[in-house]
Amino acid sequence: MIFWILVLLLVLGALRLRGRVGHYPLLPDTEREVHESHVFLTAQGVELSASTRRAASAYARAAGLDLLHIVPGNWSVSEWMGFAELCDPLEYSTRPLHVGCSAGHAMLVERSVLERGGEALEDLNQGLPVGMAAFVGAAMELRRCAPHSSGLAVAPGLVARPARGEDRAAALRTILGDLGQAVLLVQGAVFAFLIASLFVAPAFGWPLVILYHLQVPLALGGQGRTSRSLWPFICARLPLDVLVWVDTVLHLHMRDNGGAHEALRTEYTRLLAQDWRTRFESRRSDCPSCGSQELAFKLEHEDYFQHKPGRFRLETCQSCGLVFQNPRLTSEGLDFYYKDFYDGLGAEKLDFIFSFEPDGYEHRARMVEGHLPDRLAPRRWLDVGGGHGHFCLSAGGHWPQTRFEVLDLADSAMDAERRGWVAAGHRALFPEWAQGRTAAAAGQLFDVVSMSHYLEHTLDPRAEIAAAHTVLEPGGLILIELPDPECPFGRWLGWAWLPWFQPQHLNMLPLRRLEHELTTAGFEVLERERGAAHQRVDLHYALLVLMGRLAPEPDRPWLPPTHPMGRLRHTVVWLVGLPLLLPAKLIDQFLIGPFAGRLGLSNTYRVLGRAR
Amino acid sequence: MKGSLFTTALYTGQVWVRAGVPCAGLFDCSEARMVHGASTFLMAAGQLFKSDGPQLEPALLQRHRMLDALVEEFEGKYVLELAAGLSPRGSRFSSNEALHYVEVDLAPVLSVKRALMARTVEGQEVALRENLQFVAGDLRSMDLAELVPAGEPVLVIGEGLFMYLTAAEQRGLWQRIAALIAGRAGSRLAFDLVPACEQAPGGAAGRLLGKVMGAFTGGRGFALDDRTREDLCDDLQQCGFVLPRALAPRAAPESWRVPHLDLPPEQLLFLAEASP
Repeated sequence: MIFWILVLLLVLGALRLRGRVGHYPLLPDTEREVHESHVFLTAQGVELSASTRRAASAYARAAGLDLLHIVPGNWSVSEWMGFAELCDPLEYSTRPLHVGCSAGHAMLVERSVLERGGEALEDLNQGLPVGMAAFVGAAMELRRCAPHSSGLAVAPGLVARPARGEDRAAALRTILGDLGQAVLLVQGAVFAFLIASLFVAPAFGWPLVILYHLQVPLALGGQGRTSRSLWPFICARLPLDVLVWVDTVLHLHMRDNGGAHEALRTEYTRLLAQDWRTRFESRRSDCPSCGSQELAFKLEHEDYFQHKPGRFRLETCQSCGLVFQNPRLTSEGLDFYYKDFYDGLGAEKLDFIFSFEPDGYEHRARMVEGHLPDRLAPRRWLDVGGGHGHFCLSAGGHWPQTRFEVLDLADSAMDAERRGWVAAGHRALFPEWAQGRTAAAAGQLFDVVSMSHYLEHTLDPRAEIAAAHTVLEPGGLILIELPDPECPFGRWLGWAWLPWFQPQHLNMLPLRRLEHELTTAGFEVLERERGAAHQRVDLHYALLVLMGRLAPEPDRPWLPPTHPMGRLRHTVVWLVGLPLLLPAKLIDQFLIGPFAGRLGLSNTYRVLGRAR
Repeated sequence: MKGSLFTTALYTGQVWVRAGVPCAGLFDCSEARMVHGASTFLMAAGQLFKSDGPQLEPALLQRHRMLDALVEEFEGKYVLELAAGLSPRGSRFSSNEALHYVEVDLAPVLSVKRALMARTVEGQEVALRENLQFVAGDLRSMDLAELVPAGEPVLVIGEGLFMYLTAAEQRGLWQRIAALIAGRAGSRLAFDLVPACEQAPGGAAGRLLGKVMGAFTGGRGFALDDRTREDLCDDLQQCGFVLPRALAPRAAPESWRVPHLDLPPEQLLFLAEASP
């Protein structure tokens, strides 16, 4: 049975790759001149002929693209198999949040997009030769600046550079951040399984390995996307893949030890030596929402996500149901724990996770439908705490004529504006911004203010809701999405339940309390959703939290240097845990997700209110 | 593209390719051939049990031809095709430089359409025509006024669109189209829609195909209601059009050369003129 399941997976995997490879268009030759607005960027050692430039320019204009990643026509079979796994051009051009993909050779960019590229493009803009990591990093940033108009194509005349482990490791780390290690771990586990099966159960292993080799002609045969012969790779795929993998792992490892985080480690050593008392307020004896003194201990947490030192206590108000951190972090404490989570070290990983574009973005955006009586679409929409603007970019697909603005405490709001994901980005504390803005911006009020997974991070949710009221048109809508502290998974999974999310979640309001706060602030509650808002993450994220607790990620600059035993433990925990992730994800997705609302298991709720 | 209406666009596009509709070959692709093959297999299976029912492909070709004929006869300069999908009509008629053709559809659909055109030099030449414009947007909320200059007569086409909209959504869109073309003499709306009461009851295979298509369109199947063609004409009139009428393929002028008139048809075109 297992044998046939694996056979099926290998065949389906190859056919999936075949479909993807078929989506890569071949640039047709053309006599049209290169358009004046097109600029070509190349990695070190790559030459683009005039005919390739003409072909790319004509293709980009006809396809309506501002960014075209060019894949060499004689790219190695090994690189093709890996790249097609990472990127489907069809998805790439239709999913604005798809993470940037580049073959690491050349790209065409519209000049106006290039100008929005920011720091990632400094060297390229100055005409300096850049290595693989910088080139791929630039390609990813440009992709973010052209989310609706990026594509990939194969240039038959573009000659590939020799592939090197150093380049692969650099590209992997640039694209996936820390998740690159997990990808290599999974790949290594697959190779180990295939090789072991040859010796332990040859009757089982040999057919699988042969089928693994035959994936190459199944995926690439007859497609004409590479001029290389498939035969050498068909004959020696497994040993060649293992060699490439070892080469990549060695370079990834060497890069880690090369001191990339040394400056950060010095900074964290300084931060950790500072007085911890300034990072926490005094413990309060009453509920910050209703003032009741009936508080009960809920849970004690550590930082199970970044593993920064510290312990956090959650308490429940017996009167209104608020779950809150007590003692609470101060602004200084929050700065310390947010550092390198959404930006810095954690930026690429978070961008990759957000790039999956949960269906929730669209459902969230559509909740306002039918509640705007005098118009079809909102004119102005402010997303508070919207980070890099992932929601705004996604919602813009549904409301293309709406002006989206994002507000966040981090620089991410300004990045969102530079990239064109929002019409305007504001880096500010919302209550202060709203107060300072009201008089100056009469006539520029918003139709909708959304706060998704934001209020629980704030020090004073009541002030945030009041601020929303001041920037909304009369009759304007407020859309709030929050994790539900009353979800049974919170009790069942305890500290491993993702939405407790310590130390970042300071206040978790139950639905009835949020409705009370909204009504008090001058809103009428129009709609509430539980099942539709549920996020299908409970079990598999609990497993990830557990794995992280058992074996924190190595080489974190705020932790002592990782010893070989620590690395081994991390590897073992992930090797054991990864196979369990898939069934956990499947249960979340198909057994719990569709029924969460009806079973009372929803971990998130949404509320729509109208300003009176 | 999961959960989108794009699968039906692929199927229809392949029907046009196979019938040799001009410029349809620009959008030929392996996915379309696969969708068409699978659908044809299911429908052929259905024919084993119910061989006298209406056939989908001839009906699709009839409506396409009738709408083509309306563009050929149109004397104005602007054609607005709503939910254009992989329709080759814009590619074909924009060869007339005097005609300005605007295609509207969801951004992912247009993105795929333009990528398919850009694969060949011939397609590139078409896509780069200045009188062929692609506009991304959701028809349920987008502002149509920005799509064509004020005062110019415009022919608005909705092929394979209105059966996916509920009665309320249809009326909402008709009102906005009527407002767009009001006062533009010679402007009209043309679209296909077969009232539910005129549709032949589907067999088991038809229901299965409907479910499969429904799954691919994110559950957005045909929005059926009990309005007759007369009710639909009344609705159009109330939305601001004048002289609304239904036109069956067999009633079309001979010069339109509507195909497959010998087969049991299930197709109906609606025409409505702009109010003065």
